[in-house]
Amino acid sequence: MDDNIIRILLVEDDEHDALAFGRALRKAGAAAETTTCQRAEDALERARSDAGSFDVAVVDHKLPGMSGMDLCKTLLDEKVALPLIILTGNGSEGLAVEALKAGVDDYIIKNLEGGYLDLLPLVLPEVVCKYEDRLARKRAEKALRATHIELLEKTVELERANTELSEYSSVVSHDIRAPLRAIHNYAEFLREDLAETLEGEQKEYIDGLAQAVRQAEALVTDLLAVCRVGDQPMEVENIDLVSFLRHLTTSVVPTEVEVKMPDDWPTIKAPSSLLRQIFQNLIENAAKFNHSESKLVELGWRPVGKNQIEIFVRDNGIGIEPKYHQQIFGVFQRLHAKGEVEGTGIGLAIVKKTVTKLGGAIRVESTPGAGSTFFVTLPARQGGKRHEQ
Amino acid sequence: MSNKPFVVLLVEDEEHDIVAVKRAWKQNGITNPLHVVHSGQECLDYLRGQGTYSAPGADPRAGILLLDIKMPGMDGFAVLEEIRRDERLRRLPVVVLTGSDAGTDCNRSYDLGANAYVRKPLEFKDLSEAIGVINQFWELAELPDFS
Repeated sequence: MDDNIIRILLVEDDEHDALAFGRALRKAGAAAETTTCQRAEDALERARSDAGSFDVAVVDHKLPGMSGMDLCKTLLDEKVALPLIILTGNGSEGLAVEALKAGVDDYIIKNLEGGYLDLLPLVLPEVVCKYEDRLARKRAEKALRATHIELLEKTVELERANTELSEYSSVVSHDIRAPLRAIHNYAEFLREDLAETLEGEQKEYIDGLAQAVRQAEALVTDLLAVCRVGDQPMEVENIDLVSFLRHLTTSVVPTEVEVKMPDDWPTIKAPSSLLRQIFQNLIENAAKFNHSESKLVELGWRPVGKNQIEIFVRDNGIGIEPKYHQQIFGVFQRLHAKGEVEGTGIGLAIVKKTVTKLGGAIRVESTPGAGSTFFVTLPARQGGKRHEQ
Repeated sequence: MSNKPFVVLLVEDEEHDIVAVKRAWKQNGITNPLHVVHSGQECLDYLRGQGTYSAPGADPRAGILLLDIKMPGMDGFAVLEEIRRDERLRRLPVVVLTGSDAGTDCNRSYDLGANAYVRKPLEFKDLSEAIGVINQFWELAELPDFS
């Protein structure tokens, strides 16, 4: 509707009815512009060429030549974009039903008294509105579907690129190892053979060379470990957390560190190797980044929602400044000089990647000097995961 | 590898690995000469006295083969198959000495008739020790007659 004026294509051969139609609209104060055709054939031509300049067609069934019903059916067949109202004679509900079944939007029965004319100002806008709503909805659905497809395509592309990048990293890391090993050996051979003749700084150079290579080898090993997270199988098992974690802490935590954890833990369904990777790293860190007199590592859990569990690993260690709480999960992010704490800074990157692969999340609460708590949220039951990498 | 006058043939394409084995050889004071060939084809040529090794009597007999698996062209498995198929070479003791860590390589080597499968240690001093042990073993073991 253009500025609330309804543009009507009226197909009516009876002049009196056509006049009454116009009068009824004027009486109701309906803003309307009516174009009248007396024959279906003319209306058909108008509609085919110019459907856009009308908002609705009102078609009398009784017409010379082609009937109103046939006109409507033709317009519907040709998918002409125009809502249709058919005017049928008194006593012809059957026709009205047929019209509706064919797809006509509405019908009005021309009762002899002319009362039907009062309905017009009500029916017309309603039909037009409904039609336009339907059009708008169809357009929106089409746009949504297109966006959806685009999104799916982009996702497939991203996954492919991700896999390619991961394979690339893996291949590069793997292939770098051989030359690194060679450098390592040659440095050692030189050091051994020249032990007597090397002086002062020269010894430092060779020692430095050997050390740098060892560092490079450690970085590559860790990079490969991160890459491998994606490759690991997702075979899900029932894991009784109390024995799993007890076993893990016994094998990983030095004896001087105290371990506290409750006795009752649930059983969850998860791939055990990935679970071990997560908690081994966290527990090792808890013991490692800790200079307290009496070191303490605490584990605990709580249920989250219907299908999740949050497990925490807490230590009374050196703590982490809040501004680094995101950074620490990055690859090779170290907050301490190499001399202070060993390691390349890959552990938490692996943990985060593994947690993400399991569909979980990880966060940390910590302040310097007050220890750290890592919270890992995991689904209690793995299975039916979309990404089976 | 005692005072029998035979050569140990090392089949290896990686220069760095060759340097390491040579150094280990020296450190262990092994007296048997170590001859290096860089590919599977060169290995077979040596063993059969063909190609670049066709001058008769020029190259001493190889008594033991130290065979790597991963090589371009003919890999170690192909060489092993050829040797075990060859009437004249079938008895040659073959020690597969490889950096590969593929789990299936070990079984496959034995399936194809290797006498031993040894994974090359990454650390040089471990490699040197391994070479020493291999030497001692083959000094203890008796070698077959070989034409």
